[in-house]
Amino acid sequence: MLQVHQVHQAYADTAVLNGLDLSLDAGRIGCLLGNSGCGKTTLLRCIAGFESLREGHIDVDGVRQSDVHLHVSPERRPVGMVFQNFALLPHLRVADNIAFGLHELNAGERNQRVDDMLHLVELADKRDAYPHQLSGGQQQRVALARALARRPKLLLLDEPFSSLDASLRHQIGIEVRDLLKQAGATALFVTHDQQEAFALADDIGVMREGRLLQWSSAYDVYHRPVSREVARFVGGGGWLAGSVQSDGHIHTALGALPCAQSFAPGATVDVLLRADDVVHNDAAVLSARVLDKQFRGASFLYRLQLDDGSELESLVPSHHNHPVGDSIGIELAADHCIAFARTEFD
Amino acid sequence: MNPWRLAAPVIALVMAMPLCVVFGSVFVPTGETWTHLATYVLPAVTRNTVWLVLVVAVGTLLVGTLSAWLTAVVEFPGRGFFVWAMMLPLAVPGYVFAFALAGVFGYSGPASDLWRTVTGQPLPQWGGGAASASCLILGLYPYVYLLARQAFLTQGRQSLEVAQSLGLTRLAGFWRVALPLARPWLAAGVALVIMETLADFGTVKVFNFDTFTTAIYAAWFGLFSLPAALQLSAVLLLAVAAAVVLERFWRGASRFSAQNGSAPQRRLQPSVSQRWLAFGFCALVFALAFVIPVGQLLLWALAHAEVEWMPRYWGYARSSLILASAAALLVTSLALLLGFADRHAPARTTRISVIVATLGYALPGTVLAVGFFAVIAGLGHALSAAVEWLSPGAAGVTLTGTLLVMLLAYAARFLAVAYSPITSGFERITPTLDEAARGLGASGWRILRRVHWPLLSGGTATAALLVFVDVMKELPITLITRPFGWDTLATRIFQLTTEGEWERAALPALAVVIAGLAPVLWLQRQDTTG
Repeated sequence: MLQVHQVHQAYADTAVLNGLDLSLDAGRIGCLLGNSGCGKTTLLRCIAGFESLREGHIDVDGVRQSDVHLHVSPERRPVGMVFQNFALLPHLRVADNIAFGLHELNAGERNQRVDDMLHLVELADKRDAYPHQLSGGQQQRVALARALARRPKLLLLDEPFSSLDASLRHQIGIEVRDLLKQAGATALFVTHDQQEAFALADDIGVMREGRLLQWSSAYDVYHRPVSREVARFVGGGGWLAGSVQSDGHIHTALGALPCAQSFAPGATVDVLLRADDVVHNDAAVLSARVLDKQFRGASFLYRLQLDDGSELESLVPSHHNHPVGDSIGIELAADHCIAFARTEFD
Repeated sequence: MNPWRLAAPVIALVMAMPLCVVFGSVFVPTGETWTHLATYVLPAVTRNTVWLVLVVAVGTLLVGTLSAWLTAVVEFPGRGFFVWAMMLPLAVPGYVFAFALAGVFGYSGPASDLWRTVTGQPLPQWGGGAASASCLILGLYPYVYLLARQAFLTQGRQSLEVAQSLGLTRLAGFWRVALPLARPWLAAGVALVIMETLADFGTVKVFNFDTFTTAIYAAWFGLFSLPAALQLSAVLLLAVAAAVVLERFWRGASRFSAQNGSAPQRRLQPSVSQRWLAFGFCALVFALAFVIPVGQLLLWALAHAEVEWMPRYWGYARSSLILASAAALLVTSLALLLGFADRHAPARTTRISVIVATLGYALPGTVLAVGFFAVIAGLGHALSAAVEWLSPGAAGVTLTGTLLVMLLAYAARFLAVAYSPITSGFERITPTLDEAARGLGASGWRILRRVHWPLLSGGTATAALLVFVDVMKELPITLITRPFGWDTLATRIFQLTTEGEWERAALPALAVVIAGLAPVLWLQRQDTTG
């Protein structure tokens, strides 16, 4: 549905996007994940047509929208957009906001479409309300309905949950996902929040400094990161030195780990251990010293140090309350591991 | 009892006196004078005023909105310059504007000379109505410009992008989104223009176009009838009240139109010919509204500098400076008093009093002058009667024709001008700031000196400057209430222009314009520094 090929974009002389590739299949929800300033919103604006390209091209549904010479203006692209603060038109009622982009339909069709949309987002009773009379979540649903009403081939959402209360975000995120799936929409959204990305997206792209570090399913981004950068940015965890044995296992200070990747036997690698890979067990043979701990309600996130100085993280049920400085027993609960070969730069 | 609770109502009462007198006058029978006015004066005056208000409102709306939209949203050559240049006509008072433009486009002016050389025909001359309307449009469009620009800037680029993402072209987006969203600001701007047009005395007087203000002046100085002047004022006030209600209503509505957290504006990049079209429009407006009239004044002033440059001229300037300084001091003090009252006694009575006390910005100077004159005259009679009763044969008391009436009328007219920068200073002093200072061990006076005053001083200086310049430019109040023999720059300009001595009026007019530029530049500087 969406193809982005080798896209370059720059403001003045500062490069914002550096040769970006991605493709999103019909019916899937994609997410661009990255810190502010990584270029994710710029990419979204390029796809919407608010920015032109320096190099590369963008196709939607097989039709060229942007390249170096061509720039289809935003109003003629089969693309809808939900803005960060929803940007509802304050002088129009909910129904008129939704009908705003339907000027090509006749009055009867338009009313029908508005009704369908109000029904879809379950706001039929707010038809005549003004935007300022709605809650944040309701405003968001109106913004979605307005963008979907034109039946765009692709829907773009710019930080769709950042202006909602933190307590509402998770629930509204699920609602929005259900809604998009129900409408059969293909959507691409940007966020800096990993949890949001995992909750909503089928495909996640990790962006940094104008480059796409990885574009794959949400599961793979977490469990098969392609680089240390992605691993550090998504999920985090601790690093442990290991050496590759002839049977393909990796030997570490915590024992041997199975590894799906193939390394030359004898190579030195760094193994990434997520906080849920390291389990606390008072009966365990191995122990580590508590450096620091964070209370998270149901669990503690402990930062631990092994005798060789390497640091790990461990998620432990919160009834195991150990003071900083204590030694606690740990063991591994990983059936596979992520390892990266040492290079001269590491 | 908290003394602050009394301050605001007392100020409001004094400021509201002329209003009460004016409306009270409706019930005083004046017999023949009123019949004469109603038969011969009112119909023409009403027709002229309504026509003028309509034409000026539409004209300023078009010119102000277009120039605001261009400078806020479109990139074109000289945009940065026009952003502030388009405000400069505010520095030129209407009565100066009128005679300068009349000089340029009048029968023997340079524009008609040029026209005659090019076409061989005399330049068609406009009637008083059309000439007054064009002058007022060129002088007052900055009110719409400033508010509309605010609207377009706060809307940000996003409102246009929303429209585009929903399949509308930029032009359709302008009509269906940008303009409807700006509606409250535009309406508030036009309401201000209507108030100024209703209050205008100088411009229409130059072109002999009779409106309510000139009729009040004529009833006063021609018929010597205070009641007639008061009754005409009452009719004018009804129109003003409508404009005030309109302005308040739309200001309130604009709260709902604010777009939160818009992305910073990046301007449209039109084609080269469109850019020069935008430049041409702004340049034309700026030339007509500022360069040409001020240029004409400069030429006249240079040619006649030796004739006018005499000691008497310094006398006028000194009167203007004394009056303006005294008024600035009085009005700023009153505004500070209101500000403190609002802070220390935040009761309903205080809030209502503040609204009443600052209502004067909407009242035409002629009305205020006549109203206060009537109040003070009544007070003088009462005092004389009291003196007579206490010691028969003693000299009576005359309060009219003193600086008191003048200063009171200035205070009523300009209190709102001073109050708004001062309240924005007060808004920065949050209650937690007081508590923080107390927490650090500072006591009452120390808080006032070290915390409040530094935060208030900027707004207070702005307030004093604005009032000072407004009084320098003010004409009708000065003209009607000045003590005998007190001539200021403004009244001197008025006298010279009524005698048709435009060229000799140029030098004092230029002084008033230069003074008027000060607050525009000062506010601009504050805008860019903070």
